[in-house]
Amino acid sequence: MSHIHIDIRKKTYPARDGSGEHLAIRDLHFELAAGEFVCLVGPSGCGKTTLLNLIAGLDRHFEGSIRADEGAATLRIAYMFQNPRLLPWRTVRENIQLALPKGEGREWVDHLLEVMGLTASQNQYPQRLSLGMSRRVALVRAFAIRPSLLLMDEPLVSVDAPTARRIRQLLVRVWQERPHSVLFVTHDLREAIALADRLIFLSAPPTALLHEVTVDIPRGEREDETAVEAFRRRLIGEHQQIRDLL
Amino acid sequence: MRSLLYHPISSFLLFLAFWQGLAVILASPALPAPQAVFQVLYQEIRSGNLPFHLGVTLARLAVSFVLAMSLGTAIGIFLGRHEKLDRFFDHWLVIFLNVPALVTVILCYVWFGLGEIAAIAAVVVNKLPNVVVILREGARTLDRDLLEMAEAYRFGRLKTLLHVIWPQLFPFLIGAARTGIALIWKIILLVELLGRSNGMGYQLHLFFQMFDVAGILAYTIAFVAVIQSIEALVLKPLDVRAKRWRR
Repeated sequence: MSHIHIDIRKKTYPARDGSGEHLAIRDLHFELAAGEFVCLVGPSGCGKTTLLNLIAGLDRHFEGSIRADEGAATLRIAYMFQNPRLLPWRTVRENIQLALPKGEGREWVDHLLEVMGLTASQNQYPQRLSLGMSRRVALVRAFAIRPSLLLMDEPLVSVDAPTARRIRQLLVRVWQERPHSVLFVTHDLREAIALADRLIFLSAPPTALLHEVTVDIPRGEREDETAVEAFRRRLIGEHQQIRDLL
Repeated sequence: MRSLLYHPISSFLLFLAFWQGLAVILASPALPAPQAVFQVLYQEIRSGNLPFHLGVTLARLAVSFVLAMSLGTAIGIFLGRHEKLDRFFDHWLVIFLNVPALVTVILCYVWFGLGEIAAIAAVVVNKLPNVVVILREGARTLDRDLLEMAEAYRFGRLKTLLHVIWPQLFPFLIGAARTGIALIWKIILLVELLGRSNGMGYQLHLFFQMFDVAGILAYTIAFVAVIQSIEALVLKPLDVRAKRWRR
């Protein structure tokens, strides 16, 4: 597994009114240890999606570098977007299998479908699925490629609370089964504390790193809302910057 | 009983009865009775005349259809994905859409001679702008999110084309094909009438010169039946198949 170094010196967009450039990210540097679960927390519009797109290679127009210790070629990146982005003309199974090289990973996919409770729905088209189920399919697709880095862009936004909790549990279960680095974007601090090994707080644009915190709640106690809430209160109490941000 | 009354076959039978009545009232060679027309149709089939000319026209239809569809699809997708070139060519496309079919046919015969190439070229040039416009629209509306997903999961060009782009363009392609068949066969008849010595258009021209309305109607019925069969047996099932995931 690879240690990943993210070093973005400058990312700009053409300004909407055509007058020059809009600075989106400035001097953002952080590292992701192999198998580490990191949550990026920041206000809406702070460039979290832009950052994930840069890391995923969907946008290559920036100054800086994103590199892995073992070399970028060995880095297998999976990306779970805000909306599931499933191909509506392919079944659940086909959507997952298409992300894999031909004929690869059938048994692993079977296992993931079973863990996510999707075995019975594998031959259905996405239009027949609820939003929660579609998110789980997108999660299976992401895990199916056995990523070394999983990018997640507010994947549980607009999902009802019990469904979101269930998906979080499944996410952690599969991640523990096969550890890999995760970069999870959210603006929900409780969700971030429940999931992450480390929290990275981002500023409003131009995006820069504001603060880093290690979450020291044992994994077994993360489902205890009181422990999460206590951690959140402590965090907000201790750090003025985080309080202002949220 | 009420549902039978509104069945398409009822309207067809009603039309035949109306035609028969009108033919009896007019009693003119300008409108032969249905029976006379079907008799000519039967004779022309038995003599082999109709199958020959129909075959020639269908062959021209197939060649020009394939050429117009493949060229139009390629150009349409290209323009749909390249905004600047699309702007550059847009006016030309509108101009070509508005050139009358007759003008293209005459010019092709003048420039390339009264041969098969000119005939096919005339049909292709007439249909091409229509396919380009439909496929350009399809390419413009490709789902950006899905294309990004394919890129993030390293689908590669072929997989992206087959599984992400093609299914999105298919309804537009079928739309272009369905309107294409309807447009092309009408132009082919014109092309054959003006400059070929075989095919349905040529035969219709002969019947016109002899004022043989029964012949004209018999050939028209045969041709329309064949085109309808292509629509019902090939294009419609393809359309249904492409949309099965929407259910």
